[in-house]
Amino acid sequence: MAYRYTEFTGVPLPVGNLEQQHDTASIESDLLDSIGSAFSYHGSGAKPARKQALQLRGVYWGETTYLTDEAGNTIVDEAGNRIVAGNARAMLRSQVDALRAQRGQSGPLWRVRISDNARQWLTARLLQVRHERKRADMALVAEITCLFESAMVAWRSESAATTSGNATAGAPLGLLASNGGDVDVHDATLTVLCTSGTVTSVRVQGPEAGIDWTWTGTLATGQTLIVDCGRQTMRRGNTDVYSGWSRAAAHTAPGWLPLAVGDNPLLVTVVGGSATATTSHYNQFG
Amino acid sequence: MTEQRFYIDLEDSGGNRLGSGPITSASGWRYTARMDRAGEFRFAMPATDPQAALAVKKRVVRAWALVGGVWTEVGAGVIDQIVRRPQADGSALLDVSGADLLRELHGRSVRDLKLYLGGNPVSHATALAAVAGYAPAGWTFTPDANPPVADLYGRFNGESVLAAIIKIAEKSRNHFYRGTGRDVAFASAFAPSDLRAIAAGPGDLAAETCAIVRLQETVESYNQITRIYPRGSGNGDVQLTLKATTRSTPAGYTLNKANNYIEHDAAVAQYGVLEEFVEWREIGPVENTTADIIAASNQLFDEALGELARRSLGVDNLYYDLSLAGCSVLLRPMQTIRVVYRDVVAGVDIDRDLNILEATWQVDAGGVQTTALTVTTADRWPQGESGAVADALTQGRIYQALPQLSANEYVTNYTKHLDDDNDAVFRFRFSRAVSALRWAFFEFQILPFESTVKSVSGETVTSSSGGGTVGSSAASGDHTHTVTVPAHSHSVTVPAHSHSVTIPAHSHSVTIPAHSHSVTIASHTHTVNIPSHGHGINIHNGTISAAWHDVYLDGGNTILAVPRGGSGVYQVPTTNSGGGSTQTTAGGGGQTATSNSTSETVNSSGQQSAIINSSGQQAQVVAASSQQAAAVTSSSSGGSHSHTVTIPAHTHTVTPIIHTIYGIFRESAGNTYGLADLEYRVNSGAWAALSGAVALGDGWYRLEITTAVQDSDTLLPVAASNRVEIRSNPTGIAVVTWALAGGTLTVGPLIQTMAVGDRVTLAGVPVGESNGTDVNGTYVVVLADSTGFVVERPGGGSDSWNTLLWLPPAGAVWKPKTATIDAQLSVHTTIQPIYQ
Repeated sequence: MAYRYTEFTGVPLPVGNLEQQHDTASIESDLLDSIGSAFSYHGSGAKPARKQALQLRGVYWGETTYLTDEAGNTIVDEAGNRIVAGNARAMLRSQVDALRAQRGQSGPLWRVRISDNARQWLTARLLQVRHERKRADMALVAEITCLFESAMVAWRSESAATTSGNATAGAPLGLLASNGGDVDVHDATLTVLCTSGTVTSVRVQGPEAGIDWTWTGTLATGQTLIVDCGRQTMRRGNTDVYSGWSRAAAHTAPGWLPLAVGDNPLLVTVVGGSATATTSHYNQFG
Repeated sequence: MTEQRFYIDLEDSGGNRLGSGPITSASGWRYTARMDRAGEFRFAMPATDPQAALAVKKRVVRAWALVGGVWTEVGAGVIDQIVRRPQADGSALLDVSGADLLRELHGRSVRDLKLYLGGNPVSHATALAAVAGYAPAGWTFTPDANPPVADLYGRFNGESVLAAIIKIAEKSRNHFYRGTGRDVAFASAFAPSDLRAIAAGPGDLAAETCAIVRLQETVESYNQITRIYPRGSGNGDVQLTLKATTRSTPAGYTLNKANNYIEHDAAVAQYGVLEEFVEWREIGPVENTTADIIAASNQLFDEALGELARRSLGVDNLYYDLSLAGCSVLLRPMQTIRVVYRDVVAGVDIDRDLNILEATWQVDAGGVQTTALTVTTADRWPQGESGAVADALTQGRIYQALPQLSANEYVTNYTKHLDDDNDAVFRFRFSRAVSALRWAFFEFQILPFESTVKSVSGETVTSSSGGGTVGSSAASGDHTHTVTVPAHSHSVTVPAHSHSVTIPAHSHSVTIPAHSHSVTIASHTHTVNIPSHGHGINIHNGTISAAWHDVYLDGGNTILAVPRGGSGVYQVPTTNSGGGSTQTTAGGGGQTATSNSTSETVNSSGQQSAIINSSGQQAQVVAASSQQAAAVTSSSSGGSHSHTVTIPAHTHTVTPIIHTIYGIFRESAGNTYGLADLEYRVNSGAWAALSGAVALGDGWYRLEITTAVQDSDTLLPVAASNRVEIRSNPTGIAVVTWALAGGTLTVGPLIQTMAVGDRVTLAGVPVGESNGTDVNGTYVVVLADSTGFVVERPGGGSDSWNTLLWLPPAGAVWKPKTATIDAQLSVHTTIQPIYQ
């Protein structure tokens, strides 16, 4: 097993006797009906996934724990009995309840790549927590099944990768955004912080990726333009500034700032002032 | 987050994007573009989308999709409806829909835009440019480079811009579709898409093919016609027709202007006459000029011909509704697609290029596709029952909104007088509102002349001024002058003028009869100077009875002595001695000269010129119908003499005093024109006998003057200002005999009933037959009998009439008459209001 789900919104997932499905996001049928037959819409081209469902099964244990000293020796009473510090049933209940409380919640679902313990996440929603109690459980074991769904079809690295540079007015700033994942990134973020003067436009080009768009507006010193390609928003502080966006004819890329696997050279040109441009993304894995 | 290949922008009316970003949560997008019509869109999105709050009515949504590596607008529209759908799971969806961007053109009106220029039609491009002026900012109309009907003529009345361009497309016989953004492209040809819709088999579709998922065939043939009767603006019998069109039909068609139809020859031969009256109430003359009438009629012709061409040949118009799959090409209206489909069982066998009327694009999980088409073998939408009803409703609205031609009839009354010198003129005008003149009747009756003045008399007071002295020298004898001026009147209007009078050399012969002069010498004294002399006095040789004697001189040289206090006279014998002659002088007395009655002739030789200048216009109007010079009779008594009179430049001020008696004067029947005495003309045309009028009874007659005032093609009045004139017929009775004697002229034969005091007119008598006398004129009859009548020359006649002894029996004579014409002009027109 290459991966192991570990945590959802900070709640440890049942990992005992785990049975986890690490399926890829499913691809919907590409076949379309015609009179008397059917045909493939995408033909030889790839069809992207849109969403995925995740399911895992595991158990929580309720354990009786004992006090130990610094050397790890069990502390006993006068009769030699070990002093009990935890209640197995209470422990089991707290784990189960914590997970059940997340039902319907959307948050990061974490997995660990076992080969290097690298943590990865995606945003998922816990659709259901199945808990079937059996006699053998003895109130110390809870077998839990979790159903998740996610609009993200790729897992993100634990931390974001950033690339930054200072752009002066009129001079294209070259940035090299490296996608260390194994799938394209479509939710990168571009941040432009005006450091001097007033920036009146920001042009972003990625010749290799077919990126060419311009934002026209004003950024006073200290103001920041945040282009969230995942949410498809453009804001200056709390102000919506999407009205300043325009796409050049040369823009043929899907989305605003797609990052292909590997290095993605970008040009950021500001007009009217100087700014610090930063791209940020999570490397993503299928 | 998957790659973004589709999004929807929200825009305000100014085209500004709204919100923090586009709508990316839409579950799908469906857009239908239509030819000649506004399309529609629909999409659904979660109500929890941050942009959902901005999706409100009248906002513009514009969808973009990455098609073939190019971001392409896949539809845009105006939000008209938002439906919130709470779901069973607690979520809510918004169903957002509306018409496509052409909806914006529905919200603006072209008001009363008129598509004409100086009464003439305008080009297709010009018409679109005019309409574009009323469209919201940002809209452009790309005209058809070669519209089948190049010229447009018409007007709008409150139509929306969208309705206006639909109408322009109809009249230009082309079509339009919405291009990218706010552009409307007009075209008359369907462009090939190079795509085939097929019944796909297993396996991938080729790039140039798409699969037919569903097919429905409709045949439209129920409203076939082979002959069309177009009717434009108006109602009843006053509708615009083809009468004024200057168009000619293409081969295979027949135009019958008289009966207002066009028919398709081959269709008539094959199917017989299937006729229909089709109305285009919006087509009418914008103004009522000839150019407008022709332009409107031409426009009606174009519409009718196009309609007939479609419906006479459109028996087999086929329409197909196709559902497609695998059509990644975004097909649009005004393209063609090859449809290949065969279903022997269903009886469907298609393999032909069809015109796309409607195309639906859908964006969903499957990507961007053209998913539905409406295609046809024709170039228009099927009429259908609902279409016919809609057209009828539209025509009804047009009938209300646009000014329609309507019938108008009116009668104008006149009362005019005429005599030999003055025609009766009946003037009438046609206004700009007249679009057709149907007929015009001039109806009249001849009545005795009537006047509100029964009689007029006058006198004048003349004062002169500015003259100088009149020098008169009497050669001999005192005398008096008696001047008798016969009754006469003057009507003189003296404008500013000058006179140059040249008096040739002439002489005067004045005969003064024998006469006597009576001279009276006033009392006076004489002074006698007696020179020194001596008297010898024999005092008394008798008895002296008195010492004193008074001594007198008698009238001679006798001295008488009378004793004082006594009696008796004694002549004193005298003797003269030493004296001289005695001289006397008389003072205060006069001399008396007498002469015998003699005749003298005063000759004046040399040419005298008198230039009488008159400046300024005389205010006075002096009535002068002086046909005779004033006869001056001068009688003098006393001795013969001569005068030399020099009249210097002078002016006269004449003050007329008119006495008018008012009442009703009505001329006698005998002096009133009959129908045969009169003739008429219309608008300065040829004179024609009034006897050609149709009797209506009760003394009324009718002349139809329609053709004289109507243009036979356009039916418009030939002129705005018109007139009917009636005059007396100048042809009288030939003069048979003439005789001149003194101041009278005897003429035969007797005309009509002649009485003393009547007037007659002579005309056509040659001038110069004798002494150059022109006897033509009007005279007063002084004697009439069964053979002729006698007139008196005005002023008596002591001129050449006296010497005119013979005249040929030439010329004509008639009795001048008068009449009062009561008339009414009845006009039947087609009008439409013109408000500018």
